[in-house]
Amino acid sequence: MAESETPLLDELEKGEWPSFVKDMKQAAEKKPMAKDLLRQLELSYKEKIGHWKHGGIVGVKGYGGGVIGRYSDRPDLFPGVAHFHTMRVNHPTGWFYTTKALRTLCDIWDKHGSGLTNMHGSTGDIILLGTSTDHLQSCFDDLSDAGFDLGGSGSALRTPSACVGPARCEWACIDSLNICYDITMSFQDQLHRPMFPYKFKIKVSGCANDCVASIARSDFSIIGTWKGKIQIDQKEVQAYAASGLDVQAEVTDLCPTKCMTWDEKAKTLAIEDADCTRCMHCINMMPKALRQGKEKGATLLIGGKAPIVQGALLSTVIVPFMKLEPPYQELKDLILKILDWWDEHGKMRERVGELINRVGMRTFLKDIGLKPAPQMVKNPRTNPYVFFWPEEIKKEVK
Amino acid sequence: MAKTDIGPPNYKNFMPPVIQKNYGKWQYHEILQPGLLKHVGETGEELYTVRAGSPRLMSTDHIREICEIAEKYCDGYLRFTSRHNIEFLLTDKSKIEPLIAELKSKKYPVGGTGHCVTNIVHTQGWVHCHTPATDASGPVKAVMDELHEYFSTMTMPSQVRIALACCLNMCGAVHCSDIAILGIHRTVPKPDHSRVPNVCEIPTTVASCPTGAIRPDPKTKSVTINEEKCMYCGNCYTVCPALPLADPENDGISIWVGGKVSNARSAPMFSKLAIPFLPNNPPRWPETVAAVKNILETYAKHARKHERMGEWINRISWERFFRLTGIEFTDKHIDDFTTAPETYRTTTQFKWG
Amino acid sequence: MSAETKGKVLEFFREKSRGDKKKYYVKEVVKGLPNEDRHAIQEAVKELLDEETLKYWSSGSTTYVMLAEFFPKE
Repeated sequence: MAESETPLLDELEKGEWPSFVKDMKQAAEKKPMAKDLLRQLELSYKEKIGHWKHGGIVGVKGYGGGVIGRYSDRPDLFPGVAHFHTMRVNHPTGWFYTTKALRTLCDIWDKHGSGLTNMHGSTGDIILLGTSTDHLQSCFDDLSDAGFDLGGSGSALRTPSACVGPARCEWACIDSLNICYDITMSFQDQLHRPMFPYKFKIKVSGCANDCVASIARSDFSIIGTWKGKIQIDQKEVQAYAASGLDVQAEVTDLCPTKCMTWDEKAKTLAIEDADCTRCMHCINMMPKALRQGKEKGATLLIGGKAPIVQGALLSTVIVPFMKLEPPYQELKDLILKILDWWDEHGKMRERVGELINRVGMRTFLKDIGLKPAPQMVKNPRTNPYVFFWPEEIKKEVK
Repeated sequence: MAKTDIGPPNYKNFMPPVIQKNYGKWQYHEILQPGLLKHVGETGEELYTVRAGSPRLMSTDHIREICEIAEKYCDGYLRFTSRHNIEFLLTDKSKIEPLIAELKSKKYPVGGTGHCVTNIVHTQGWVHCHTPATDASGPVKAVMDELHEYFSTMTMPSQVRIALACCLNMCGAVHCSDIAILGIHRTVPKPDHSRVPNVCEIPTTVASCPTGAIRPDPKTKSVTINEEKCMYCGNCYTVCPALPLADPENDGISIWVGGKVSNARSAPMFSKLAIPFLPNNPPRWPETVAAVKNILETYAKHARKHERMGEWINRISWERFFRLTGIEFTDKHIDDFTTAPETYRTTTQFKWG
Repeated sequence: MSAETKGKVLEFFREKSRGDKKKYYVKEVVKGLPNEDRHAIQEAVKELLDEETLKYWSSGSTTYVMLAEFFPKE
């Protein structure tokens, strides 16, 4: 047998977990560019550095994003990946597919690219990994004919994403999928033609479990919540207790607000709903017995981001409760207002959360027209550097 | 000319009939066994989900194989999760066992539910990124080879979310993970003075630096980099390919712990630094694998039921975390960024370890 | 959007691109034309992009705009 060209990567074909090297080799059998990708990666494993250069290409007529330009820094050794650009394809909301749609995508990508993908990228897009410059437009044309479109990149609205929501979750307080889809369709221009100071991400989670990490990973977080009493089915609570769940130790003792009591003798659960902060723990533990309050809506938060540039931020509350029903006009108007405010005041590469920290949340709230509420802060300020607005100061009487 | 701005396909067309019918009307769910969920609608209709791991980096042939399986058992419907798992959606109870058997025979790990270590969210690494400090798919594969039994069981105290980003730009925003594996650069870009004047726009390169660490150097018609200010983001390399950042001996991996995204019980938390540096040691990153396994198993041994990594550490204290894991506490663990003061101890209350 | 704004935007790029710097953020264009409406400038830029007089240059995370003639060759 001929000696392997990729002895280091071959090591990663071993073991129990699915191997990406197997997938790369599968693609390499059909596509010379995938073969060169594999060979270049082997060199990276040998030298312990990457071998890619960035290029500014966006590639597709009419769009300013959706393609990430990559060039090998060793085209002499790996001509197949001399240019090897990624295409970000906006995923179907909730990542639902028919096999027909997936097969169509595969056929298009076998025709135009490396045959390698990410299902999915970090922001949620379908990542088509690697094609040459001359295939970008034709690949897009075929994708478009098949009903797919590119996602966002650069200083644009990035592809919004949502949790599985009402499609398969009893905890969805809002129609996360429909909200996400509606926003995506309404803001196509902002997604495809970058004009902002930097990236802007929107993620929609149906409840406080936040399965799309909206509070940590999006500039504008939409998280489902409710008002009113948690609906208790005592019979089902008892069934959980009978099946071995220690209601006291595993449910009520872990309640962060201690708003619940479990009467061991009577086998009844009581909740002081006014004290509940809707963290989801008890409902997570007993989905059959506890259901959220009947008035559903969302908490809106702003500013979540990874560290670049001024440190990571979690999103913070700006609207404690908003009802979200189609066509979501109030929500979209608010988003547009915030985008425009950020566009006007933000410096380049300043995310909206960083801008708010620079100019002050008070200024943000005032400019956007949001009413301050104690739900927005952990505690009121502790320093005396309070500045009043000019209109709040009595003018000197002349 | 192709149509633009058509947006993604409408998700409604991709949902199986049982979901169309029960949309918004699910009553409750149960985890029947690792990797198997049952959702029950108001009418009593049942939906079964079989969850399997994927390597994220997939060939079209692999996707077609998944399609074949979904066609055989699920009438051609499936979905992916936010953590790169594949979910097969079916209503026919009798098909569950054969589906799981076929998945296992084809080496798909079935699991990723409940109190488990689910799939690692990760970035591109050396496969396709231009500023990586480490590979992504490789360390993930090596770590998951070691932890796979925790994927297909539910023996952890709570959910464990591991994530990997190959540099501090964090395309894979890992900053709120139970365990975060983060590639780090430790040396500044090295300008290739012979190439900078020809291939780079100096003013754009200077302006690209978010910390103002780059200055034009009229003598060489190139640039100089202020080592004190540089934070190794690689943005300058993005606009100027003659400023390579990669450093084979000094790039490596850091480990962060105790973050969470969910609001359940405690508020969302950032991950905090546990191990400042581990070397890049391909193809299997043994130091990283051992470090993750040590932290995970120490947590599994000591945490109470339902306690996430961060909740456990907050209860026992960081001083005890370092003692129990045997990880050395260094000056790197002490914050000196703008967020530093809030991390200093402002009480005489602490433990001896 | 007026043809006048479009002309001024194009003039901005022609004038500014005489030096080494060819890539500009849309924000820099707005700053350079303080008497023009921000939204009108953005629309003008989009139109010039559609006509391929201007071209996007993306770092992946941030996006620049430049005269098409200066877009780097591969």
